[in-house]
Amino acid sequence: MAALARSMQVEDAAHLLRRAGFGGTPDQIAHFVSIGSAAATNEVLNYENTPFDFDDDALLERLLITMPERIRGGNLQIPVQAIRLWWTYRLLTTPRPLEEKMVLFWHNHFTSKDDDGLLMLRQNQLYRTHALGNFRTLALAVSRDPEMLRYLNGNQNYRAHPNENYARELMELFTCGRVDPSGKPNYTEDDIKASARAFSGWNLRDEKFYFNPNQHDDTTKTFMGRTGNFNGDDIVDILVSLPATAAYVCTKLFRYFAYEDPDQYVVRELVRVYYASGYSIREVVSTIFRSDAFWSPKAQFALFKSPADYVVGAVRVAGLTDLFAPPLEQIVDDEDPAARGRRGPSPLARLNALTNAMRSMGQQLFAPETVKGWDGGRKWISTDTLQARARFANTISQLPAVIDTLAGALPYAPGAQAQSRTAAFAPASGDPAALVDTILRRMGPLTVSRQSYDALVAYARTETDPRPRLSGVFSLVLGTPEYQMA
Amino acid sequence: MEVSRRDLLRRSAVVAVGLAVPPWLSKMVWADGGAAMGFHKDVPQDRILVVVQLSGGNDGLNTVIPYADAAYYKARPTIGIPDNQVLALSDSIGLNPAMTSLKALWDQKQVAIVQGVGYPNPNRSHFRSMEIWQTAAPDKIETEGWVGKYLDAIRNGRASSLTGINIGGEENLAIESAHAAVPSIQGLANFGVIFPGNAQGQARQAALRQIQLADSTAPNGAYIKQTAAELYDSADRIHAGVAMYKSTIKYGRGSLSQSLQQIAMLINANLGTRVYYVSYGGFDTHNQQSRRQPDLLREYGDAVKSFMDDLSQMGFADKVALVTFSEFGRRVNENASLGTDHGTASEMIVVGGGVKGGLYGAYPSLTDLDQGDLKFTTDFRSVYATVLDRWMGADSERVLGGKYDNLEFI
Repeated sequence: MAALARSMQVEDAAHLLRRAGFGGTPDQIAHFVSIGSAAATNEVLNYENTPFDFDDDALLERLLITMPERIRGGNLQIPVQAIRLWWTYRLLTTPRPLEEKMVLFWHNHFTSKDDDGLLMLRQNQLYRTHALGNFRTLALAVSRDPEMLRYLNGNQNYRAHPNENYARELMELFTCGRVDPSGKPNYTEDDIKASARAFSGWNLRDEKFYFNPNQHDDTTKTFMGRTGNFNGDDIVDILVSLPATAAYVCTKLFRYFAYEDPDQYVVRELVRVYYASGYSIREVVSTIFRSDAFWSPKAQFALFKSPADYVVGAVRVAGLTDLFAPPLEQIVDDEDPAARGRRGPSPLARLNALTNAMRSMGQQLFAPETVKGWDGGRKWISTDTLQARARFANTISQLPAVIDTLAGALPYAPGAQAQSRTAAFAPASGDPAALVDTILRRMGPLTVSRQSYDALVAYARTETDPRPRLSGVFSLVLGTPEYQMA
Repeated sequence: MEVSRRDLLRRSAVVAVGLAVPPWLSKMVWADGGAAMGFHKDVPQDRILVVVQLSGGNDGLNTVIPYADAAYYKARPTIGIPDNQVLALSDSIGLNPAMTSLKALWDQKQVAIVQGVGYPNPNRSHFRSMEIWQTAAPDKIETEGWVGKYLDAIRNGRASSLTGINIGGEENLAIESAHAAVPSIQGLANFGVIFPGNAQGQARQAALRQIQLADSTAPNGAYIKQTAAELYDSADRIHAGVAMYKSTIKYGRGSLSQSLQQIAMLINANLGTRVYYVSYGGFDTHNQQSRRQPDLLREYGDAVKSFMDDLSQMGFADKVALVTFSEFGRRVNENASLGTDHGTASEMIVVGGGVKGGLYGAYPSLTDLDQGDLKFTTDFRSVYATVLDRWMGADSERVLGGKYDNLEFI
């Protein structure tokens, strides 16, 4: 099945790059247009074939140097902010963005929140390992994940006093969901109790999963109409096999990648693939990317950009990655003598600014507000977060290094070269409308409303100083209603 | 629960709004809508609730002190407050000596203290216990807060986002709602102002406003425009309101004083806000408690006194009730670091011109303990229910998901 019936256009390539990643640069878009939709979709999905020699340990080591007081008594006490910076760096630099996009998905599906950076890091790596893996395998691994055992109190689940927290969320949020589309409950309180007993004794020892036979309820349970001496694995097996789980997970993935309200026939096809492939996430996601629905006009710009999409996307698409995720040797403690005398914020401060920006927009990574994760969709946009987005856009657009980079990346006239940037921004040669067009094309391509476009051009005409003009138009484009959508 | 709330909203959506209501208020459902939703008709729908969250677990025993109880001094040989220093409220209970301002309000009969407030199976984790207080749900994980649920019940869909305001940037589950985000305001002058105030910034600010208020045909363009309209409309009203604020009351420099002054300005601006939420932290006094807690309590008392004085001056004293809580009290016995560890029950303090001052509930026994901690005597949801039913005129059962006895402080 062809991914796209017609030949791939710039808009289609940009759409795929936004959904399977954080947006595309002109080079990436041109590459996808040239190889066509089938090959582009393959490239996106089989990201293992794209080399990414990323030294996680080296980056973490660098980041921890800047927080030395947190290493106490020889024990590795990693503040979660270090892990946040590490992940953000990865999001900015990865050449296989679908991998990170899936890790974001699982982070928001199998949620956890903790100040313990090491446990959050291990959980995050678990999601990367299984990013497009098998849903059953992933759910089994999550049930043993030390952070999850802590977050949802598995480590307090004892035979005599079963703790129901994990059992409840495993059903309500992680697999079948609370109710079916008609509003009928998918499980009863007795099912939760039985499941909690099956997971009893799944505890922690030395921050690792530990099956404690003395605390495990080794008796018969009745769960979802089946009776047996179930343990946690049996519960996961039963849950992943339920049609409700298939529909819940497939629908959630479709909403994440395509649009909010899939037709029933689309969900049915995804559910069929879910079973036929033995719960393969890759096959389900692949089916989404190859569906007519994904490429339909309805899907275009139909999703709200998450704060991660917004922040990481702005940096990547505008070609600013090196400024915010610099070579490791540039990441030094701001108190370090080597850092003295530098003008403007340090690379580390810039990276920190990105995580702070995401937080202000309502997405503090590793700290979802509630166990159900971020609602997303319309909830990304409120009076607060609309301000936070515009403030972030303005802040980065004012950094001299950003203006320099934009000036190089966004020549006024097509074909103008980076070395002519000074000339390009001399007022005499600058056509304000052309600047607006160039930035809209670069950041999307984006088609904004007539009113917004006129306001952008009017602004560009009144601001005659080329650098503030470039900075202003860039930040205003990031403030358009259209740019809030992915 | 879900269904009944949706039902509520659907009903409130069809309530006609009177023409006499000012245009910006017309977006909200006031007395008429309240009646349709089964709200108490006899309670005026212009009252305001201010929630003050003391983060970190305030030591209730050294705040409202059982100074006649020998067990208190036995448990706290070092950090216990000597009985001759306590600001006596009765022959057995007194305030921390740092709370002279609160004592002044007490003498004006404006302070109700509910003693021994807590919940069953207390959780001693800051995070979880705060979540319990914010969601009013000790037994299950809730994703919406009690203030958020109340606001959802009185809001017509997602109209006016200023129905509730969170002061400060702290994450706060209490205001989390199913339908509309409650704005967090960190500085009134900055609200809605993105760019610096110079000519260059003003040009961008004006352009951004035009761009975000444009009629966009893009998917969800109308929604974004609506949110932007609310933002800029709210910002205009806040800035205009702040400009009108005049007061002879001097607030302190502490963060709670500053926050409460901002709330006074917003109340004066008459934005139709029903609930303000503010957090004040630093109460996790595991060590050297006597060096830290008095300053925090002094700031609390001074801030509340300035706020109440300010409200009196603007004629709002009878329209505002301020409710204070902390996620837990602290262990009865002091620890080896001259501090106290995480505990359970503590008091809640309710202040306002419309409040019946006095002591409510029973002070928990200091000898009949549960694992070294106080046994609560009043469920915190009873205090919430009292405030919701009697002060806000709401239906507490719908907001809290259960019926809780009302207390008599309102």
